[in-house]
Amino acid sequence: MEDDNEGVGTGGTTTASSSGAVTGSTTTGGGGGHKHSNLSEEIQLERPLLKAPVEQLNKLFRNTQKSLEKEMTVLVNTINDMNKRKDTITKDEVSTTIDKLLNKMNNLKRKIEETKNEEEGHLKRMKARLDHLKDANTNQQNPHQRDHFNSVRVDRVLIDYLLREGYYNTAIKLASTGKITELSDIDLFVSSKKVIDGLTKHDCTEALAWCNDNKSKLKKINSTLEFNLRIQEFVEMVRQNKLGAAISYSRQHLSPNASTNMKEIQRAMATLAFRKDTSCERYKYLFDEMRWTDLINQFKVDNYNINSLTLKSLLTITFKSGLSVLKTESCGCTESRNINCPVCDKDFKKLAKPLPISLQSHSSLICRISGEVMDEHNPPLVLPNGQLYCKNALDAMAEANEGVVTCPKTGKSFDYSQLRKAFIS
Amino acid sequence: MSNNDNNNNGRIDFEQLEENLGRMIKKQKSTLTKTLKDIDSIVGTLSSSKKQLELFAATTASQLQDDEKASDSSKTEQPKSTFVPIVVGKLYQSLSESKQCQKVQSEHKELHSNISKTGKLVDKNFRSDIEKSTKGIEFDPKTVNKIILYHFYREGKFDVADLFADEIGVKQSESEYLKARFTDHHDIIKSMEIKKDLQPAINWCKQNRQELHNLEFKLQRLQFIHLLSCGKTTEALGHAKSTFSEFANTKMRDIQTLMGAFIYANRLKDSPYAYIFAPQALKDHWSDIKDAFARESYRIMGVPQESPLAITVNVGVSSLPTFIKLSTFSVLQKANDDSNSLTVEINVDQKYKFHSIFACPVSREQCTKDNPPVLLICGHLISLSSMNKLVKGSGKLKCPYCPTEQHFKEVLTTKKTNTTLYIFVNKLKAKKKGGHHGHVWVSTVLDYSTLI
Repeated sequence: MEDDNEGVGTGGTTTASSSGAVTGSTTTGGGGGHKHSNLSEEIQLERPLLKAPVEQLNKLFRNTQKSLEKEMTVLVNTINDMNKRKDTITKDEVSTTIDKLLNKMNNLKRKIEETKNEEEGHLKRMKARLDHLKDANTNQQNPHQRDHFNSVRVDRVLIDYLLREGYYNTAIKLASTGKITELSDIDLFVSSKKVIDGLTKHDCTEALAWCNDNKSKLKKINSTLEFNLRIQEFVEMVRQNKLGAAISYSRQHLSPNASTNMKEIQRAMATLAFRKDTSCERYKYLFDEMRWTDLINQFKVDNYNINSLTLKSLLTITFKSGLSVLKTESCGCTESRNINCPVCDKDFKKLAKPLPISLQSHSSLICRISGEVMDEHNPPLVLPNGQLYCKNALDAMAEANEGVVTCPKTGKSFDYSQLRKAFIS
Repeated sequence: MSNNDNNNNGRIDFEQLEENLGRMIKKQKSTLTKTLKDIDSIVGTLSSSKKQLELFAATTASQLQDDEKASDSSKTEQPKSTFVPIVVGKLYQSLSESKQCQKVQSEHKELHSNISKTGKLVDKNFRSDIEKSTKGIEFDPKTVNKIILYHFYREGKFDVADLFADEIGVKQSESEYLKARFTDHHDIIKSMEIKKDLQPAINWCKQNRQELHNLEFKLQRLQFIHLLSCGKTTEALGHAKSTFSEFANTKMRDIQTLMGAFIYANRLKDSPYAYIFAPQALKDHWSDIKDAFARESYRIMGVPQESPLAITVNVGVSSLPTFIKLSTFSVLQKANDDSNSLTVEINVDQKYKFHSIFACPVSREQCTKDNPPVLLICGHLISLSSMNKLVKGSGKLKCPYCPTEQHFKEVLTTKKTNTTLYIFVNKLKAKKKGGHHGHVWVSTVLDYSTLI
């Protein structure tokens, strides 16, 4: 290539053809051509926000129904039994039985009162969440409302991450400063903290209670958590050399799973013949500390699952797609670094490393003077030396310097009339 | 969880959801209140049975005593109590036979249909597949935490940030350093927002005067507007006297306009100055000045204008629907996973495009140093390779976007007549193509690196 300084007649009299015919069809994104992305599509992703309270409500309902059924059956059976023996039964026996029943009923009542409050909490949360989404959906054309929704969403995504990672204090503080406690599942995560803390201390009690609390849901998703907890408790007994206790434990708690998990049970039972410092790989892993971490992870997955939460944090999900879209070839290069570009930051760049770069089949030129995007309102102008900047920046420069523009890249000066408009379509 | 393709074609039926939720709230209240009442009534029945029992027992005992007194002969067995069977029988009647207990259960169970309907409605209106495109990705938690901590400090959420620094075990010196970076910035903004005090911002401007253009005057101007709009005419005059003279050279017109407002000092809202002093206009001034200050302050600090974390999350959410759609085509998904570039373009808000991209409008290929963009005489930019394909054997080339046709002879003519003004046309000696004779004539070849 040589610089021949050839002149060409004035261009620019022709109209730039609209890009519509060529573009648009190449994108799968909602029809293309939207200036703003469609917020309704984004709101449709908010299922966990609304579903989590429903799931918790459902759990409370089931448990109330279960205890109602249980207590009522006991009540009816006891009374039926007394009625059968009514001619022989003593007054004292009737009296103590009635006392027992009264006690049960009062306990049941207390429990249902608590549940009622808890349920109302979930319903209130649900209402707040539905209102929040509806508001955003209705006012999506209003930029202020939209910015507000977006910034609340960032906080929500962060709270979700913080809770999952166990940074409860930060999460609670962030929710309360943003006044979005009702939009965050703090209670859900704080109550699962007990289970995680227990498992961290090698104690299955809380976890088993949780399994019992969520029995029907866990069954629905074919969870093996309870079985694995039982195996772990059994192995712990073997580790402490309480072999007798281990055997009776296995009779009580492992045998119900015999039809489905015989292999695992047999393997666990075989530990009775080994010691905790066994070198046999097949049994060593049962004694491994990692098993506790696995249990914690399994608990988390099941907990997310039955509450309709995503398995990965919302931050992971959005970062993955966001970074893939933002990442370009030029990110982080010293020459083209843009301070405002997230992926130009070294920490973000590290996260984006395994991700693909975005595909760009549409031009988008960002002026190196003003940082503005060049489009039909601010078209690119080409300097005689082949450098290209936006009209706004060059106009401002020409105005301040009596019609002369200086190329910041090469330092050469040109008269404004030498600039030529370019169309990038 | 079903892959719900039946999600109302992208529309969310909020009315239905709201109506349903309203119904459920009512139902929950009535059901639980009823259940509690039923239990109360069971408790009542039990208690009254117990009372009867005691009462009967007492009367029977006193009768017995009376009987004993009446006749000593009664050394026989205690008479069988008649009241126990009566009480038990009554209890049986009112709780067992009446099926009251079953009723409690079945009534509570009715709530279930509402809950499950709500769940189904949510499933119908929202998508359950948001994780579909997120398989097998795990980010380094340390880096993520660092990014979050920075975000909190940057956004001025210092309380949250301090707590987080503590929870993730960041050294205090480190967090203090981050905090110190943003403290002044947020203090200034807070004074503006809460106290309507512009002085800290003005002081900051004075310190950074050589790097700023208009901000200081904008602040002084708003200070004046603020004083005048509060009716503090004397203070406003004093402020104008002490500060505006400095800007006399460059802002004379603005100053004149502002001083003119004194004429209407008592009725600014209905004066020709309403565009400055109307309540909404005042509100806009404050939010504009806050934005302007934040922009300049971030620029001088050398930090991004918008939180990178917030950008990434928001771009992430808005691109997610496309990613999900994409992941339903397993071929595309696989190609995406394999190549180092996405296989499908995803629309991004213009303001989130940070790097120049030139994609040839003809071939759709991203230009590179080897295939740079060229400027045709009509001003259209296309890639060099597309350009070469368009040149006919005769040397003629028609712009693909407008009727302009250029012949290399024409180009030559223009070149001769206009040598000084335009230096856009380069001659490419390389790239000999079959059928082409000699050279390919093109307009300016832009160095790709000059674009980015």
